[in-house]
Amino acid sequence: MDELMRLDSDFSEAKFKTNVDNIFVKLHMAVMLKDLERVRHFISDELYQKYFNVIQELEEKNLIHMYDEFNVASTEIMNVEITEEYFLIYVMIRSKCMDYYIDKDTKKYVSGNNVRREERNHILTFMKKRNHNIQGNARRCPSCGANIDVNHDGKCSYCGTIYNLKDYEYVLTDIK
Amino acid sequence: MKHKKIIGFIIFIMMIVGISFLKIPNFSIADSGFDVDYDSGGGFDYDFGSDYDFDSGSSGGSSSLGSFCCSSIIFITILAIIISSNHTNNHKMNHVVKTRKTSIPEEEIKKYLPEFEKNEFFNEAFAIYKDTQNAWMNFELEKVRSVLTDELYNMYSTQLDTLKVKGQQNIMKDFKLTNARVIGFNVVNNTAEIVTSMTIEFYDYIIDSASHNVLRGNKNSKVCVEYEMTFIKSMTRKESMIECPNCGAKVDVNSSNVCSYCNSAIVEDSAKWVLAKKRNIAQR
Repeated sequence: MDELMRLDSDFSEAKFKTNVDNIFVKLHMAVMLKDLERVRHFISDELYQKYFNVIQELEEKNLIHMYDEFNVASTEIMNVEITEEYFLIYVMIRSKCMDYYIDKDTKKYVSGNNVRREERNHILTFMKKRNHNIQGNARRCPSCGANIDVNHDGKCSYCGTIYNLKDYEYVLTDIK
Repeated sequence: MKHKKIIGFIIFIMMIVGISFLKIPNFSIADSGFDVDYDSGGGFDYDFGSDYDFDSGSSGGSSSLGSFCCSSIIFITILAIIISSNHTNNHKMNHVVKTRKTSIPEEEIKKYLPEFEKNEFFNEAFAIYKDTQNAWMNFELEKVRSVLTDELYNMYSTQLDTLKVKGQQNIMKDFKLTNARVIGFNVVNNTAEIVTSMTIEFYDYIIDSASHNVLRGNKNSKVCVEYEMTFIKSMTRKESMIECPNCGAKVDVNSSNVCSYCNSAIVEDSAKWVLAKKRNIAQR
């Protein structure tokens, strides 16, 4: 960690952990709402494809996957790896939610637990380029230059381009 | 001797039956970010390895069998505690998270932040907490954007949307800070981080927005929550007023804000303390 702080001058553990929480919550909400485009900038292409397939399957079965009262209970950095090109941070995240499925048309309960929150642990991998660019205090669309509220939504509201967060910050590359 | 065994057995059965009729209160509560537990695993959520599961058995149709099992488990646990207390026991019941640290003295922080004053800091921290809870309750998170990190603000916004969709409102009021201390302090890359333990009592329940019926929680009984809250601020940035990088207008940006002229979202290192993380350590 000391090495990471020395080499990544932007790094703040508190801000990083909250960023992890924000991404984790937004990813689950994106699956629930079946709208991955808003979180596409937070995740790697491989992870995007994985969740795209999950959403496709939900559509085929006419289901909505509900993550109710979703909360991140704790976020701990487990390990840090520094390669020639990247910083890699492995994070253990403990979350709680009511995890169940409803029918897309009738909104009626189908299966799962809609009565009490269940706790889950995940290991998340975040990656950042060592030669990353500096973002600045106003983030701009790489295509048209319009302002983007990156922590809210990575899709430019003017031209639809997805923000290139991987050139600046940590992106989520794996969830186990 | 035989009579004593029979009497003991009868008492045991009576206790089981008696406990079965106990109305277990619903401790379900919410709080910004859904940090505090609803009915599952929490009304009494102590982190010493066992979760007391006061499932109030809402829609699932809690059966009498379920109630009996619950009662039995409670009785056996009480019995085990009584038996163990009869033995010499150096082991204190510890219901705090293992990582709880001892208090950090004010002098330690003043080495890096000479103007730091503990009481003043906790007044500010508690005000941020209350403002955040009120903003969550009233679906007005924009009002606290400047006292939360941009990431935390966006996470709360996403979570709050689910309450809106369900047509529910989280009511919280009468906050009382009963204990507060600094348990961690870091200065990293020109950012100061203070980790606090703050114990707060308040009313917390969920209502249906239309009918105002209480859906979860208890409007007549306060809950007591110990939080671990992390506050951060820049060591180098002193003023929050800046020029919008897009249109040049003056914008007050402590942590993040939207320019009122051109609508650009701006994120900055915070000049004043902002809440970066809040988590529930223990509740009752």
